[in-house]
Formats: sequence, C-alpha cells, structure tokens
Amino acid sequence: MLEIKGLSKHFGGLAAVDKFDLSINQGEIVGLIGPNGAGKTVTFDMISGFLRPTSGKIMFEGEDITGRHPYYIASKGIIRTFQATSVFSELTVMQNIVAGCHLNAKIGLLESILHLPSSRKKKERVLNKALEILQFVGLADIKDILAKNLPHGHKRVLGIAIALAAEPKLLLLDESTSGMNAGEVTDAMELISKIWQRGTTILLIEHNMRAAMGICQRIAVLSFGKKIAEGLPAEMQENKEVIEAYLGVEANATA
Amino acid sequence: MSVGGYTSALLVMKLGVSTWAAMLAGGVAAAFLALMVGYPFFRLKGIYFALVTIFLSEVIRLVLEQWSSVTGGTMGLTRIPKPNPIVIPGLFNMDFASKTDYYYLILVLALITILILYAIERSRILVTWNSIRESNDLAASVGVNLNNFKVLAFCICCFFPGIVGAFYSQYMTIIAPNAFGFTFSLYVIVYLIVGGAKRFAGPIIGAIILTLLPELARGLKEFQPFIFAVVMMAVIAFMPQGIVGIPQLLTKFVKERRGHA
Repeated sequence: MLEIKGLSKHFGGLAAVDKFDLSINQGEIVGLIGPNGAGKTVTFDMISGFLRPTSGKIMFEGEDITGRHPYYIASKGIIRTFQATSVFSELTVMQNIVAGCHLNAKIGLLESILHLPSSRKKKERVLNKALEILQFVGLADIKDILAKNLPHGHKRVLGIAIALAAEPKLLLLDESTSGMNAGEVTDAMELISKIWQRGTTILLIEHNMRAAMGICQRIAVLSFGKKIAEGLPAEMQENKEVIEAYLGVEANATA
Repeated sequence: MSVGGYTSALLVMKLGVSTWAAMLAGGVAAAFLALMVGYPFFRLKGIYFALVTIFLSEVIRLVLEQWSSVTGGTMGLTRIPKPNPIVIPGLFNMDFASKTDYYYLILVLALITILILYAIERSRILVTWNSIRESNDLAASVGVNLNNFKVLAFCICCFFPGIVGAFYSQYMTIIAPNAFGFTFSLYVIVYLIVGGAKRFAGPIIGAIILTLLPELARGLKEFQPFIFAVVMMAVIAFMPQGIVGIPQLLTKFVKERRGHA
C-alpha cells in the first residue's frame, strides 16, 4: 500500500532523516518508534506532504506522491494527526468533525449558499456521519462544547476523530498518547485498535514504548534519522541496538 | 473600489453599456483582479499579506494616475452618466434626479449584500473557512485546498466593494484616483474591530455607529482620526469582542458581582 524508498530530509548540513525505507501492507498496523529527535515526525511530515523530501520516493497505491501538496495526499486517503495542533479550538466538537468531513462532502459554493435541496440532503448525511463518529470515539455527549474547553485527553481523541471523518485508507497517528495519564493511554490504545479492526491501515508514532509494543504488528525503530531495526515487537525489545538507542548511557554502564 | 468604479464608468462612457450591467461588471472586475493576485499573495502570511494588499491599492492608484489616455490621469473621469431610470408604470419612477432615489438604490444594494453574506454565514462552506482560520495545517491534513478557499474568500470580499465603487462613480458622476485612499481602507478596518469581527452583525453595527457618530459631531471633524484611534484602542483594550460583545460582557459582569455578594 505504502512504499517508502531512500527517503531523506536534510536541514542545512543536518540529516534529520537519512535513507529511510519502509513498506506497509493493506490492513497492517505498524509502529514507528525512536528517541526524541530521531526524525519520526519529519518522516510523517514528508509522507503527508507538509515537508518536501530532499531525496527519496513515496509511493501510495502505485502512485508517486513524493512532494505533493497536503490536500492532494489527503484526498488520496492518507490522513495524519498532529502532535501539537490537534483541534479547531473555536469550533464545537461537532463542527470539528464536520470540518473533517470536508473531502467526502463536497458542496459547491452556489449550492451551499442557495441551500438547495441537494445540499440539505448532503448536510444531513454529514451530520449523521459526524454523530456516528462521535459515538464511535465516545465524545457524543459533549458534541456542543467548544473544543478549546475540552480536557487534554478528550482533545487528543477529538484529533483522531477529525482524521477519521476524512475517511482515511491509511491513518498516520503522531504520538496520540503524549501527555496522557496511564488510564487515558489504555483507552486511547483501545480506540486505535478498534479503528484498525474496522479495516483502516495504521502507521503510528509512539513515544510510549509499552503502548506501541502492545498494539503494533510490526515496529520500525529510528535513531538519529536512520532506521536501526525493524521487526516484531518482541524482537525489538531484545534488539541490542534498540536498547542502546533508547537507554544510551545506562546500557553502556551495565555492559 | 477604484477598480469597480473605473471599470463601470469606462464601460458606460466608452462602450455604451447599460449602467446596471456596468455596475455588475465593476464587481466582477474587482473579483477578477482578486483572482489574479490571490494565488501569489496568499504565499505570504499575516501582516505580510496585509502589506501587499496595501501596496496593490497604491499600484492601482498610480496606474490610474499615469494611464491618462484611458483613465483621465489625476483629474479622473468626469460626467459619468447617472444610473438608467427604473420605471414601472403606475407604481414608481426612479430617474435618479434626487438624492432620495440614490438612497433607496444603495439601501437595496446593502440589503442584497447582507442577504447574500448571511446565506454564506449559514452555509456549509463557512465551516471550511473557519477550520482554515483555526489551523491551516489541520485543515490541510483533512484535504482542504487552502489556496483555493482563501482566494475564493478574497474574490467574494472584493466583489461587493467593486459594486460600491461603481455605485459611487454613478452617484458622484466623477471619479478620481484618490477617491478611495488609504485612510478610507483603514476606516473600514476600524469599523470591523469596533463592531466586533467575530460575529455577523459586528461589522454592520460598527459601520453604522462610526458613520453616524461623526455626523453628530461635525464641529470636531478635524479630530476624527484621533477620535477613531482612541475609540479603537479602547475597544481593543476593554472589549475585544467589539460592540456586539457588550451583552456578553454585561452578563459576565453581573454574574461576577453576584458571585462576590
């Protein structure tokens, strides 16, 4: 489904990501882990079109999408979430989802302004769909609250829900659990696993190693922009290079 | 507005187009200009975008001054025909001989504009524009083509002033390059801020109040820019929601008072 070859991004002389390869098959759930500054988010930015790669190629369903605009890549079915800017603050929870439905509710300007029956029908369909998504993620009770007034955990879930509204074929989740407490992490992981079971292919960045281990079928590990390992979660846990990358000094001390 | 005014005036004077078609063409011309400059302009963000729009209006003014063979140079265009009369036999007869007829015309234009804008306000497309305002990146991530939507908004925003420019030229029967100066553009922004930018009624209320107020205080005309500046700063400091935010502000105030008591 997704085929990344030799992907690199240089900022000045610094290689943030260096010759990164990864392929993801339809229906998989894959984790991308690594210490801070390893280049995980930069990789996401390149896949989703927010950053233009210095070199390398990104193929999605047989089409070369390297360096295309974010909206174009989104229209092909790759939807990402963000670590920081995750919701439309001044909109209600419901409006957030409706905004996320942009792609599958194309309404022309005139159609929309004149409030033609066709647009009303589409509007109703979008609202129903939005409600369904809110029920699915468990935010239906608070659909009329302004997003900025939500607690942090709910904001993160809403961020995922916005992405779901765009009907992703491949969902890129950037640290969905950052800043969450243990209970929230468990809930979020359950939600992600539910999304995956519905048939969405997922690539997720995770800082919380245990969370990633529990849910991913396959894991790729980045360190200083290079992929240092890839394989089953259990293998990664025992991989010497991975442990060193994560624990650095301590690993050396015990050796 | 200059673009709309000149376009419609020239169409009527040189090509003999009907004044009503020319008025519409004034709006279309302004929107078309917005379409042409929109894509390059929106590569810039925030304050830089504001700067280039100011530069553009200066460029337009200079072009109008220099291109004298068409625009009449600094003197502008004179003896622009009045609007063609509207006559419905037995009902009414508007020949635009008196100011009253112009008043009703601009009133109808204003109502139509508000109606169209209100329809947009209630439409699905507003959610998309709001999402862009809230976060460019997040909107793009769900597939919004930012440039297209920004340019579309820009075109709509230029269409109505284009019409007004055409109306102005037919009302004054003259138009000169300095008809709509930089000060005028600034005043429009003051209306917006004082009225309240986030609510539909805000700019309308702001424009009404700040147009009527100077009429009541004609003796202070020289000080108008000062007064406007003070009013605007006061609004920014004490009621960031603008005049439309006053009811909210009051209820909040009363609640807090009760809370303390």
